[in-house]
Amino acid sequence: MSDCRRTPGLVDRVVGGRITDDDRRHAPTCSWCGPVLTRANTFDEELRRVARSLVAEELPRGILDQEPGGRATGVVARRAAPGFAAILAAAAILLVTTVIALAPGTAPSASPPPSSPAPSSSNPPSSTPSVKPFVERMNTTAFIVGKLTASGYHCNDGAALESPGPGPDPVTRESTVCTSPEKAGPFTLAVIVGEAANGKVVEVSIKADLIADSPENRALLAVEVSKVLVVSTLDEQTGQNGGLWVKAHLPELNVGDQIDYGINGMSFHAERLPNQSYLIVAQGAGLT
Amino acid sequence: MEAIEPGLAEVTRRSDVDLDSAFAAARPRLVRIATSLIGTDAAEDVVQDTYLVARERIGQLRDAAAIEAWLARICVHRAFRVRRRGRRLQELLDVLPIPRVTPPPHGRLELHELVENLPPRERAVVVLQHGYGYSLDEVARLVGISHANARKISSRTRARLLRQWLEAEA
Repeated sequence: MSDCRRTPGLVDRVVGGRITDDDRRHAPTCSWCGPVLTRANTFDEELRRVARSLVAEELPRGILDQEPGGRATGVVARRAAPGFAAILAAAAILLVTTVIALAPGTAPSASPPPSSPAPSSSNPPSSTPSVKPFVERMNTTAFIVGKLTASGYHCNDGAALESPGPGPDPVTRESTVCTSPEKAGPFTLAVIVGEAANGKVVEVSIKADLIADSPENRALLAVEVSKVLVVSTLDEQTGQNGGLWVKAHLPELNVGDQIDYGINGMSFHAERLPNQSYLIVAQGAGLT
Repeated sequence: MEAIEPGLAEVTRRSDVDLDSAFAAARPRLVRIATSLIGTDAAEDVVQDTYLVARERIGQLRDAAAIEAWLARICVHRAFRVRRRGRRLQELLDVLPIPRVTPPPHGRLELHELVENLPPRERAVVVLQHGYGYSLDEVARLVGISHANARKISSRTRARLLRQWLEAEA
């Protein structure tokens, strides 16, 4: 650590681009601040050198010339996940649900909640780009809420999606978060509905946890998830195909497995997270 | 399942180029590009994801001769977004924190380590801008974000790296 009281403040000023004349006069006389200023002066050059050293392959000529149909904004599908605020809300609800379920006298046979989760490092479904014209492929929030509440789900208003700024991701807010009723089965579901700026639903994310993991319960969970997908999808046949796909494959997923399926402009993604939870994402935005 | 398979088959039939052959030829290059942008750990995942996206969108490829550039662009785009959900889950679950670089007990922390340990999104922008030499406008186009967003990521990352680098010295 520096023995000079000015050094911490100097770093702040250098980073903020607010170096004073006093700093410049002081630095040459200080064995702590002098090297800091010297180093700061070489930073950009060093950063270029380091970044260049990481380049293992040049990008192909013409990479920027692709038209929207082929360029990245047109080809990269799917949004990564529900907004942090919404998934946090969903997780909180699930936690409360799980605690209630595990409380003495309420669910003596329930297994403990999964532990030691680790983040997935592979193949996240990513952002759905804004592609014109907008093609509506999912039902409205009101429709989805209506169907889910009729099945006993409890739905809240979604939290606003935190966004770093304009980008290709069309989901601007999570319009609602619905949680499954206890009667739905030996699992908890949080359904997060994502809307684009035009108010249309473009994504439905489902986070699901089994109360007790067994082949039977996985199958029951898959059936429930398939119902949500059918409710979410505007075209009934497409929704049923998505539901069939989930029913066929969700019970087989092991931790780390990720699967994708696309039909009629809808994309479906399912994976089993390291904490044993399931994440299922249906998207229908702009996939022409 | 019978109701599902036709949909998948339809996707394949739409392809008018031999995607599998083109991808196989481009794969080593794509791995190196992904490695450049986000490191070795996630590069393979990004390249596999690139294939899945390309297969899904092959019908949107306008110029079959440009398929390698098209694949590379998908790869760059995917690299920028890799682990986004993972990071969010890390934040949510607070179990496996984002790797933080701490100065070693002896010796200075090198800028190389700091850049390599950046989150993928920031590292990709740094490498595209300072390593490949793209302008912020071009970086924004490559990864599919606005110029303002690219500038924000770039300036924040630079400030963060500069601070860590200087504090290591101080």
